[in-house]
Amino acid sequence: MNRFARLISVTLCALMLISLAACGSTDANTGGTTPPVNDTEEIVAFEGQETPTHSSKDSLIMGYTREPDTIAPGGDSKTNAQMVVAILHDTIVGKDPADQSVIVPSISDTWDFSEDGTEITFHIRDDIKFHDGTALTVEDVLFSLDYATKQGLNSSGASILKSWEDIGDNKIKVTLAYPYKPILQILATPGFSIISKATYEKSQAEGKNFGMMENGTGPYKLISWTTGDRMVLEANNSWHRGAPAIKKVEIRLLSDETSGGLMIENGEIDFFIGMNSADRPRFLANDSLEVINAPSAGTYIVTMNLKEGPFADNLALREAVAYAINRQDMLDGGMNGVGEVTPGPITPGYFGFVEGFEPYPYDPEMAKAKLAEAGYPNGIDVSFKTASDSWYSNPAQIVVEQLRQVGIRCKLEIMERAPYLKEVQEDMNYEMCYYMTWGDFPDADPVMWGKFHSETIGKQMQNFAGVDNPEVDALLLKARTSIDDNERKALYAQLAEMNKENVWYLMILTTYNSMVINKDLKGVEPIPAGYYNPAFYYWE
Amino acid sequence: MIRINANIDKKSGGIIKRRSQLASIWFRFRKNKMAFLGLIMFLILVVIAFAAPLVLDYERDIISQNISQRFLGPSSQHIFGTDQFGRDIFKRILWGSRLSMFVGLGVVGISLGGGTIIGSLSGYYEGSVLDNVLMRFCDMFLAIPGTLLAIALVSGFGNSIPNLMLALGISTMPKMSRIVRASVLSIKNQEFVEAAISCGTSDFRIMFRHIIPNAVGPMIVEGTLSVARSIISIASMSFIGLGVQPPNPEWGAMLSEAKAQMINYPYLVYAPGIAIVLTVMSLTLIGDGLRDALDPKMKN
Repeated sequence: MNRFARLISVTLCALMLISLAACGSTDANTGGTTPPVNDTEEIVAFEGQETPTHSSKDSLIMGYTREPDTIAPGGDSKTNAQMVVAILHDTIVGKDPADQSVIVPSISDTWDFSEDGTEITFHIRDDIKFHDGTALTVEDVLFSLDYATKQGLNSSGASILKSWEDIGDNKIKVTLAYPYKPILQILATPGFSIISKATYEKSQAEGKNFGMMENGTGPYKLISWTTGDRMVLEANNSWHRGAPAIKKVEIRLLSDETSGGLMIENGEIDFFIGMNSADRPRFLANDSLEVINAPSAGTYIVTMNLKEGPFADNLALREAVAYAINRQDMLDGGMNGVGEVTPGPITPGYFGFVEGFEPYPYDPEMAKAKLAEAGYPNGIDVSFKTASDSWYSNPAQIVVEQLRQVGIRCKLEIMERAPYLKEVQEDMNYEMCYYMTWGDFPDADPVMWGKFHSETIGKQMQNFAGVDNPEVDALLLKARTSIDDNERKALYAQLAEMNKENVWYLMILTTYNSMVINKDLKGVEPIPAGYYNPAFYYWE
Repeated sequence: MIRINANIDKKSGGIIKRRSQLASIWFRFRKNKMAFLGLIMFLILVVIAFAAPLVLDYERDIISQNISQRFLGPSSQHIFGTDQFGRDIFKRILWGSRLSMFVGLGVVGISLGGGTIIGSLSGYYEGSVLDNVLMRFCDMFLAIPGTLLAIALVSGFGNSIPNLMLALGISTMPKMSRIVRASVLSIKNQEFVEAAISCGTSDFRIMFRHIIPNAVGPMIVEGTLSVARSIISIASMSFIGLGVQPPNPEWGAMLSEAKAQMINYPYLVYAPGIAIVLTVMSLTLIGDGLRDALDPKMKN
């Protein structure tokens, strides 16, 4: 028995050795064949360079640091997710890729405003097909509006849209609650993408996740989505705005900013969004890369809970926080100086931005005095929540330290994004937080309405401080419906002043929505909202 | 119950000399140069951990930021340079030793305490229902990877240092229980235990006065090695954001913060990385040395 066991073990050892040797030899074989493959690739690339203007290259690899939760319109507030939605779908009207403020035809080729500005008639094209080959109908457009207005992310736009109906002859009539000129801008955001009613109903009937089923009309169709790895998109050559020059787009879902930065430097990806601001000088110095800056994408805000907790009904305490904050240090230390400090609620570059508006100055002594006035002469302990991405957690660490200097001792809780959004922005279960909000188009209305109007309380990325003030609601409505630009500006200036007096939100900084691309990729225009669309790109 | 070894010390000219068990262990341990080196390194760390609050002020030196002093490379003023918030990395590393030591020892304390109770009960009442229940529970926990279990527990309990210690302690407890149980099994049939039973000594007294003191060898070895593993676990947990929260200068958290700046300022990762490596290495060397020194088969 013993001898038998020994025999077996010797045999097994021998087998292992042989298999190891076999592995070694196959490795050696592949190692031997690799160089010729590389050589041919190099030759191809070299030939490509010899024809300077038109490159035969028609594929693009984009790098994202965060993966979309869903590709259903209005389902995921992440910029990256909205961008994918925009690539796969169309909206009723589109935006000019070169100038985002210009509205161009899309699903609808012509439209008319009624004289009082509360009714719009869209003519819907009848020659557009979904990616599965079915024709787009008026019914799909109406269904898409039903769907979009139910999404929390679209709530500020949904409050303007009153009703929508089929009036025959391939036309729909959209009625607004009041005249609102930027409505076309709202309808052109990815949240209002056109989806197929049949696909949605099929997903519901079969119990499938609609957020993973793609059937849009956009320039690209989703071929595959491997969670945590990549999404593969293929051009829709019959796209109504022209077949895209880039036929295959691969979206790599990367683990973090640093590895993405290395990948674009090594040429493994051609387009990288979400770069680490610390890597920026290196990208700027690199001749084969181009850094694209879109100003004023999102405004980062320190928020105190106005509904409950120590900050509710304690203006002096909120003022203490306002005096304790040094915005420039947060920008330099937390964002590596990429961006600009933001004094008031309206982002620089947006309509309604108040020139010369001054926030509370950085004055730690004043902050201490206010803290004592608020009833906390020995300081106060509060909790401070933020998301785990470095662009939230780094500035948050700085502001927490600044607050500690004056006696406001914050317990920093760094949370994952999904539970953070649920807990802080929907349930309002926090004392202080640091987060970012943005506007889809450069007007004060979506930014202000979403943060200050009482009807948006508890909706994702909206009024999460809980500003609930009838006077503010009235002013917002007045500013929204007014057609006089000067009057609107004055109203927004008044609201900015009220925000400062009451310390509802403390706007800190606005960063650049920067990304880095391979310099041979052309047609890339900076887009403040960050919804980049490869349909308009080409290789040189 | 003290067992006495009679040894012949060659230096003292063949005169038979009695040496206590502890002394002979120390003698064997000291002869192992690497283990001794590990012990010296560990003692230095312990001194640093205790001395840090005497020299440094947590609020002034450790968490105070100075945005104008960011990313200063190593210099005479800042030996390891400064981090992205302008804090001195050297001081933070010194302070971080406290957290690593405290949590590391705490974790082992929990797992050793729990493991001793579970292991000795189940070993002493071998084959009983109690033994079966306890060991099947341990098997269940052992089936889940330790780090995964700790992540699940921290997410469940909430993120704080005591919860982190508890989570890591619970996840290492089953292994410790098994080791204790194995030594209890080998000891409980020896004559001195039988003698105690025949005197009518209570089970509790037999377990804690007669068996456990004799089973302590493997526990010390496993405990020392598990401090090293716990320090790595804490660092990994902090690295993925589930461990010690900023601005606490935990080494793993410091590595995690430095990660984004690693390509531009590589010195940021050297200091915490080397600190973790040295601490873990010293404990592993001690553990290995102790294992040899405690082995009764080893000759002096």
